[in-house]
Formats: sequence, C-alpha cells, structure tokens
Amino acid sequence: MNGPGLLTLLVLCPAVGLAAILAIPGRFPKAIKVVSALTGLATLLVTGLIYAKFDPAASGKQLLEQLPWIPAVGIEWHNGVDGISLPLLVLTSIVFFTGVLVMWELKERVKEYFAFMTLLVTGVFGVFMSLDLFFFLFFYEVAVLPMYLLIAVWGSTRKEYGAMKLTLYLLAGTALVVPAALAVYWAAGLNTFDLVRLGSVHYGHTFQVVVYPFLFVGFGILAGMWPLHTWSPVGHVAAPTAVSMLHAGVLMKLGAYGIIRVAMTVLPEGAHTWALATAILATVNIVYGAFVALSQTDLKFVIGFSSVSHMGIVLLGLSTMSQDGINGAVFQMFSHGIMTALFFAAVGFIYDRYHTRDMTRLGGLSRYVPVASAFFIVAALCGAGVPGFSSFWAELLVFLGTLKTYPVLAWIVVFALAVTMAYTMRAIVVGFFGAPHEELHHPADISLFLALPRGILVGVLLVLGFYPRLILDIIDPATRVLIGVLK
Amino acid sequence: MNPTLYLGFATLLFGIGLYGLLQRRSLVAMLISLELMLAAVSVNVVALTTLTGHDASMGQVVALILVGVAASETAIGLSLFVAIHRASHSIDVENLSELKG
Amino acid sequence: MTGTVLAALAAQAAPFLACALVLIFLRGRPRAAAGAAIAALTVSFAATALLVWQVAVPNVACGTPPGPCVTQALWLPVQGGAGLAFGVILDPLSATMALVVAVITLAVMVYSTGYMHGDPGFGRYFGFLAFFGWAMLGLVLASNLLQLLVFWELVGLASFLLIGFWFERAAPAAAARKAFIMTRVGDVGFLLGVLLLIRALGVATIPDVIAAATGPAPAFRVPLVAFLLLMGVIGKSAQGPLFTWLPDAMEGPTPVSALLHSATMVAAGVFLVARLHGLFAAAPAVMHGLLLLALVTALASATMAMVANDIKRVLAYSSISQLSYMLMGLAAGSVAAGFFHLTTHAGFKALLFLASGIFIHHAHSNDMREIAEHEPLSQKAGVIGLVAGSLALAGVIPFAGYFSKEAVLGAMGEHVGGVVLALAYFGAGLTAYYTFRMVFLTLRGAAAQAHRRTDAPTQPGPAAHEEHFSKAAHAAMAWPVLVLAALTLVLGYLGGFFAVRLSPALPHEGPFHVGTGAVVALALVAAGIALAWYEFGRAGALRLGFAERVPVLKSFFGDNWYLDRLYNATVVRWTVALSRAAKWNDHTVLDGASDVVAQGTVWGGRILAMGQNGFVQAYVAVAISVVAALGIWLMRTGGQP
Repeated sequence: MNGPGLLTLLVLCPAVGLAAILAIPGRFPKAIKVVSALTGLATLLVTGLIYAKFDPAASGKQLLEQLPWIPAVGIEWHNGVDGISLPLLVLTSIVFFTGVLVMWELKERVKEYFAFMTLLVTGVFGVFMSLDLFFFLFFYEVAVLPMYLLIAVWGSTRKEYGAMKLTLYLLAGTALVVPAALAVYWAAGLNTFDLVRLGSVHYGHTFQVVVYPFLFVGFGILAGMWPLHTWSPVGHVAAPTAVSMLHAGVLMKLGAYGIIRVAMTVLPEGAHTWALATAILATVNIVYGAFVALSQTDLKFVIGFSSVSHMGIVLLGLSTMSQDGINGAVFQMFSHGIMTALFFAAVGFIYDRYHTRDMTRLGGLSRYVPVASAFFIVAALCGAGVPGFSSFWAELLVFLGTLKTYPVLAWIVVFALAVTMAYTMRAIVVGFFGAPHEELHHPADISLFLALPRGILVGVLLVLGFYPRLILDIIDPATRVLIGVLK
Repeated sequence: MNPTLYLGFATLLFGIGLYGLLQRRSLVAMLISLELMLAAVSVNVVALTTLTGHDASMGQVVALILVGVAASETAIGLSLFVAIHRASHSIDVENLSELKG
Repeated sequence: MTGTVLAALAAQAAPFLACALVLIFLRGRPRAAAGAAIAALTVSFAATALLVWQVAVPNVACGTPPGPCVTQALWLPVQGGAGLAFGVILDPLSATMALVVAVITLAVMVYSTGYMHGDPGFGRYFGFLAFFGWAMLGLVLASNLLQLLVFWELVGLASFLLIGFWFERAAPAAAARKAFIMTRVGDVGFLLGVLLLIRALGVATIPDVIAAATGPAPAFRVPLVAFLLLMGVIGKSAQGPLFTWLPDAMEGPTPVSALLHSATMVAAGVFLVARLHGLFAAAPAVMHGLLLLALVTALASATMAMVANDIKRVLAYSSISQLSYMLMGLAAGSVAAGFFHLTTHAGFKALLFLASGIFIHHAHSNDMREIAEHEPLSQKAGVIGLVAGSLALAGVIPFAGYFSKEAVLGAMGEHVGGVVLALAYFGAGLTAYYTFRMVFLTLRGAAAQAHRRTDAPTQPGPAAHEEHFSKAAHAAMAWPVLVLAALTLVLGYLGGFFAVRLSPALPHEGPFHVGTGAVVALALVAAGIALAWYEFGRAGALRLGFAERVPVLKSFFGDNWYLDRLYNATVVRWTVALSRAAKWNDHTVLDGASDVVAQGTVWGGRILAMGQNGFVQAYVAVAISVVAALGIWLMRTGGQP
C-alpha cells in the first residue's frame, strides 16, 4: 500500500488555501484574492507534476495511494489516476485558476466567496482522483453543496430560484445514486468500497439491468441529461461568472465521470443493455439543446443550452461504448470544459460593464469592446465545431463512433450541426455585430490582466485544436482498458 | 394469591386517569389524572412482583422511586402552570395550541 | 520528391505565419501588416510556381497505376486503423490550382493596399486574407479527405470573417451569417460523406479512396457518398438550392469578392469534384443529376444577372453561372475541361471584380448607372480590365474564356445531346448578353435619363479620401488589373496542357481547331453581344433590357427566383417554430413537471401538518392508541414480531 503522495497533495492544496482564506480577516479582500490565485497556481503546478509523472503507455491506475480509513466497513483513502481522470484534473486546475482571476473585481463578501469556491474545488479534485466509492460520493457532495450558497448570495437573475432548483435536482440525483451504490456494495459481498474490486465482481444480469439506470440517471442529472436538464441553464444564468465557469466547465463533467467510473465500470452488462436508450436520450440532448438555444435572448441562456447540447455529445460517445466514441467523449469533456469556461468568462465581462446580457439590447459590441467580443466569438466558433479548435476533433471522434454503432442517430446528430451553427451565428451577429444601440455606453476594452485568463483558455483550445495528440495519447490507453472491461 | 384482582384494579385506575387526562380542560386536573396513572403503574408493579414469586423488594423500590418521580414532576408541572397562567391568564388546555403545524 | 513536398509545406506555412503575426502583433500597423502578408504570399507564389514547374509541367506521377504523389504523417489515433493523417498531395491538378490560388491572392493583396487604404481595419483585413491564403492552399494540397474537410471549413470561416469585415453595418453582418449557415448546411452532408469513408476505409489518401470506389467491391455505398460529398459542393460553389448566399456576399469588400467569391473559394467545390473525379465517375446517376442541376443553375443565374443593376451582383450571378459550366464539364466526364474553365475563370473573373472595384471606388457606388455618370472612361485601367474581362467571360475568340468554354461545351457534346446541350449553348449566349449589358451600362455614360433609383447598395469603400488618394494607391489598384488583363489573352492556350495531364484518356484537338460546336457558340455569343448593344450600347438606346421590361420577369429574376422568400417561409419558419416549441416544452412541460413535484411536496407537507393541531391531548390520545395497538399485536404474536 502506498502512502499519501501527489494526489493527496493536490486535494490538500485547495483545502489549505481554504484554511488560509478563513484565517485572513474579511477586511483584506486583496490578500484573500491573492491567496486564492496562489492556491490556483499551486493546483496547476501539482497537476503539472502529476502529468509529468504519468506514463501514458502503462495501463491501469497510476500514482496509487491506499490507506485504510474505516476498515470495519471497508472504506479506504484510495486514490489513483488514469488516462481518463488525468485530463479532468488538469481541466479543473485550469478552470479554477482562470476562474479566480476572472473574479478579481468582486467586491461583496470576498472572503466567503473564495472560501466556498476553494471548498468546491476540493470536492471536485477529490472526486476525480478517488477510487473508493465512499469518498467518491463524499467529495461529490462537497462539490455540489457549496453551489447553493455561491449562487444564492453572489448570483444575478433569479438567483434564489436558480440555486434552489440546481441543488434540489442534484440532490435528487444523489438520492438515486446512493441507494444504488449501497446495493452494489452489498451485492458484491466483499465488505469494501474499492471501486477497482467492486468492478471485478460479476453481478447478476437482472441486478445490473435494474441498478444501472439509477446510477446512470442519478449521475446523468449532473451531466445535464434530457429531460432532467432544466436546472442547468437556469443555474448557469443565475450564477456569478466563475461559478458558471466551474459549474458548466467542471461540475457537469463530474456527472459524466461518475457514469464512466462507477456505472459503466462496475455494471458493464447493465451499460450494454441500456446503451441504445441512453444513446437516444443523448441525441435528444444534442438536438433539443440546439433548438432551444436558438430562441434565447439572454446570452448566458444561449451558452447554457449549448452546454446541454454539448454534454449530449459526451453522453452519446459514452453510449456507443466504442474506442472512438469514448475517446471523443472524454476529449469533449475536456474541450467543452475549457470552451464553456471561456464563454462564461467572456459574457461575464460584458455583463460587468453593461449590466445586461440581452443580445437584442447589446448589439454592435465588437465596435466598443473588440477584444472582449473576440473572446466570445472564439468560444462560439469552437462550439460550432470549426477546425483549429479542440472541439472539432472531439466531436469528430464521437460522430465516428456513433456512425459505427448507431448510424441513424449519427445522421441526426450531424444534421443538428446546422442548427448549432444557426444559434452560434445568431448570438454573434445579433449580439456583437451591427451598429451599437444608442443607449450603450463605450467602456474601455478588457484590460490585459482580465484578458489573461481568457487568453489562457483560448490558448488551450488552439493548442489542442492543432495538436490533439497531446491529450488523445493519454486518453486512448485508458479507453482501451475501459473497453476491455465493457466486453 | 391471585394477582388478577390487583391487575384489574390497576387497569381501572389507569383507565380513569387516562380518561381524565384526555377529557379535562384544566391543566391541574390533567396533572391529577396523570398522578392516577402513575399510581396505577405502581400498584401493577408491586402486585406482580409480590404475588408471582419474584423478588418483592424490587417492586416496592420501584414504587417508591415512582413516588419520588411523581412528586418532582408535580412540582415542575405546577410551576410551569403558574408561569403559563401569568402569561396567558388561563390554564385551559384548549387555548394552548401555538405549537401546531 | 522531398524538395517539392517542402515547397508545398512552405507555400502553406508562409501565409499561416503571416496571419498569426499580423493578427496578434501588427493589427495597428497597416503598412507592416500588408507587407507581411504580401511577403508571405510571394513566398507561396514562388513555392507554387516551383511546384508547377517540377510536378505539373513534367506531368509527374507516382505508384502503379500512376497517380498523384502523396506524403502523409499520422495525426490522430482512430480505432481499428492507423489513425487520421495530414499530408501533401502533388500532381498537376493540385500544383496548378495552388499556383492559381497563390497568384490571385497575391494580386488581390497588392490591389487591396490601394482599395482598402485608410480603412481602420486594414491590419485585420490583411490578417484575414493571409488566413484565407493558408486555408485555401491547405485545401488544395490536402492528401486525404479529412484534412481537406478541415481546410474546407476554415475557408468557410475566412469567408465569414471577410464578408462581415465591415461588421458594424447590418447588411454585411447578415450576409456573413447567411453565408456561413448556408454553406454549413451543405457541409453537413460533406462531413457525413467523409465520416462514411473513414468508417469504411480508415486513414485513406485520396487516391486510395478513388481506387476503392472504382474497384470491384467498394466497402461503402458509392452513390450515397458521392451525393453527400456533392452537398458540400453545392453549398460551397453556390449551386442549386444553396446559391443565395453568394449574391449577398457582395457586401464584403470588392477585393474579397474577387478572391473568395469568384476565383478561389467557391471554386473549391469544383476542385473537389475534379480531385475525386474517379469516385464521382463511379456513380453515373449522381453525376447526371449534378449536370442537370448545374444546367438549371447556369440558366437561372444568367437570368438574374440580366436584371441586376449592382455591378457586383451581376458578377456574382455570373460566377455562379460559370461555376455551373465547370461542373457540367466535370459531370460530362472531362476533368481537363472543367478545370481549364476554372483556371481561366479565376483569371478573368478576378479581373472583372478588381476592375469594377476601380469604378466603385471612383463613383462611390455599386450601381452601374451611377458609375456611368461619374466619367467611367477616365479610369483607364478599369476600362481595359472591364473590357478584356468581359470579352473573356462572354467567350470571344481569342480571349481565354472562349477556349475553356469550348472545352466544356465540347465535353458535354460527347456526353449528352438534345435539349440539354442546346440549353447549355443557349446559356453561353445569355452570358454574352448580360456581360455586355454590364459593359454598356457602365461605360456608356451620361446618355439620356438619369436613373436616380438606388436599388443597389452603396459600397462604402474606404472613407472618402478622394483628394488624398495617392498615386501609389491608384497604381496599386491598376497594376494587378493590367497584369490579369494580359493573362486573359494568354491563359486560353493552356487547353492542351490540361488535356494531356488531367484527361489523357479523352481526345482533344488543338486550340485552333474550330468545330461546329465552336461556330454555333460564337454565333450565339455574337447574337448576345449584338442584342446588348442594341438595348444598351448604341446611342439613343433605351438602356432597358428585354427581361427588365416585363415586370413579372424583372421581379422574379431580380429576387433570386423567390428562393429566399421560399426559404424564409419554409425552412426558416419551421426551424424557428421548432425552436419555440422546444423552448415552450422546456418552460411549460419539463419545468412544469418539476414545479408540480415541488408543489406536491409542499402540499403533502401541509396535509401531514394537519395532524399537528397543537392540542396536547390529541397527541397523547394518538400515542396511547398506537402503543396499545402495538401491545395487543405483540401479545397476539407471542412477543416475536
């Protein structure tokens, strides 16, 4: 058994940051922000170290840590990374760091805000690295619960409603997952929560077919699965900028990751039985999300529904249970995470300056704030699947996988790309092109400091758009292992 | 000897006390009924332990403890009733329903 | 071979570097931006010239049976195969097309230093032009279909950015949006076709794909894939149902129209058909359908050109028409004819646009009648360009267009007959008519009524710097025009060159062979020019075309054959309706359901709360009853529940 190592360090970084923030009195907001930024940098560093130590060629989980926690029930402090969780850890640290910088101009209750944000991120890191089902669910809750306060206190449009709806939906998801997880625990009869060992048990076919939907739907709610997705756009819109970035960029991936790590790995037969149904639901996500996005006037709602649509691509890739599909799904999780973080960061700046997100009242922004507008346009083009950005490759792989497994759905989904382009164009042209309205004022364009986090996100999208091997070489071996499990 | 007589007597006493607890409107009357129920329980315990060949002293000890409990409970209850009377000028239990759902 | 591969890579790398340099650092430095872009395209020009010399002229081929030379490297792992690759394909077709792209882009860039002088977005403009150059060269030199698709999409992005260059105005913004959405509709089919090919063949170079399609047992459904790929062609080359974005795209700056929307980008569709000709030939029904669609498009767009008053729109419709001719030549089985026409068209259509740009700049209007009132004959380079280009477009011997159009019509003559062929020839006559209508309307000035109507949009152009417009700027606009005009006299003699290299299996005669088809065509051209002269050119002419005099025809031809209205009433309306329905579903049904659950929970709570009435005695009664019941039950079951 290996003792605590880099992974524990990674989860401790935001925890220590949290402690530091709590120690600083609230009347020093600048210090709190600096400490948060440093925490973000620390997490980036540690994930960088983890990335460096990671060997893509080796199969199985790496950087393993295993310590008994409550031996009587089989709970252990058990962490590890593989090609699927590593990109997600990197994603989280990038979005966390850029999110802190994006919120640099926050004025009210700075201490509480950054405290909750670091708490949330602690939970996220914990989920992505945990190989013990108990701690998986524990950190899952730690990640979800601060969202309520973050939205209800610091949010904007209908924040109490949005916060309440988001939290209730996500807890409903947990209410489905926890009994199923316990059922698995008892059915395995090994008195352990170790996901690896739980995965190696062969459960009865009926058991799998009955329990799998609970896990899939429960995690799927967080992944924005239709028809239980309506918390997501409302929550996105209500949340403050960095919280939206974390929410859409990272938290929704927790759901998909839960499906991979818990549902599909532990109950592969159940996954196969329900694959067509989940693929159809995912297709509905993609098409429906695109159509609804077309009617929205609030820029954040457009992004919110576009997230629903793009998470559909993730779920579809997972449902194909093919090498390409799952590669594409994990790649899309990373790519969409960065892209949507950029989206929200871009809109956040505009909202800060103009106090409206209604695209019919904005219009012509490219003239007044060209650089800030460019960030939005770049994110929009990435979302529309323009090559040169990472999403193109991710979506291509998912389409390829779907074409091999569910050809009809592939046709539908590819044609939905036209609708995606339609709402993308609408957002860009109505919101940013054209002559500026008279009542719009002419603020200064985005400062270099605030442009930095957004620029980092653009850079990541471009680097992976030009050289997707950088991430695919890591994901592919892990997917191979997963496919082996699913057989 | 047959404990049935004593059990029956205790049941009767308990029933009268229960009826009084549920029926009376005055808080003091409810307290008196409660005392009756406690007395019935004491009779039960003493009768059962003495007349069925078990250790009789245990039953009598329980009865004495119950007397002490009843006394303290009465003291506390009556002080609460005095406070309630001071606050709402009534000890009619029908008026004391603010803790409703 | 490595020298040529390096040249091909250099031709692509230079504009890419220039684009990055300009867009990141040089946006505020107009001269440096233009300099970087022009320098990069000069490198591309040299590299592609080298390619032509080394590959096209000696007609180099690789492998057995001899075909294009392909060099590829792995890029992306894909299940079950080696993965997706990026590479370079070198043969006369790609080399020549690359040279065409480089030359026209370079000419347009030089011209733009004059045309766009003083525009606040000058740096951004050259950055986008360099971006386009990179994307187009990448498309031409791509070795496999996925790579081609990537650059195909990037070219579409460049088009969006350049059409909407003056994004502050509503019309260009709307035109850019329409272009991107319409071409995306076609591209969706293209993507599906490519996906089907990848699923069947994995990483396959273009020659491999063609070999698989023409082989005995193709691993994919050839007609289906051919049709899907053609959807992309129809979108990109503005044919058939997806053409209406191109006339609107004229909102972009004139040099952009010259480069993208006549010579190169829209020709990408034609290039694709030429590139994959073996695959398309294996689906003859699809090819025949393409031919008929192209024919209808050719005639329809010619009619639209006949009534347009905006000089750029005339040229736009003309481009659509000529693209149709290229596709007809390809569909008739002759890669040489189709590609020959592509090359000459690139030359003379770019020339016509650039020449018109000189007039537009001078008169500050796109409307030919207004240009005519601003002393058009004083713009000498413009006049030379317009006339030379028009003679080429109309197909007058010995200008370039004559030879290439003859090649196309000749190829069609071998393949189809009767009505189809007759209509194609008739289209040639219409071409001459509307072309010279344009010439006469523009150049034959102040005569008769001053038509003050402005149903053509005014091109804003650069700010009115008429007095400060330097000699250098004028020269920058004049020289490319003159060079291209000279080329139109020369390009016509490339027929044999292409015939030998691109369609060796087909018979061809020399350029000076004038068969019956040529005579008929020349006669029709003469008739068209004569009619145009009669209606517009001669002194005292009414300056109103025969089609314009019939109101029904004028409005039908003038409004894209009502296609936009049809789309708005159907596709757009249904999409918006679906969108609203989905939104309603989200708000009312799904949210309603969750609200019902929430309300139900609250009511359930209230109902249960009724049991808490606050009366102690009730509570005691309930407690006693429950305990009593429990006790009785326990007694009944003997103490073991």
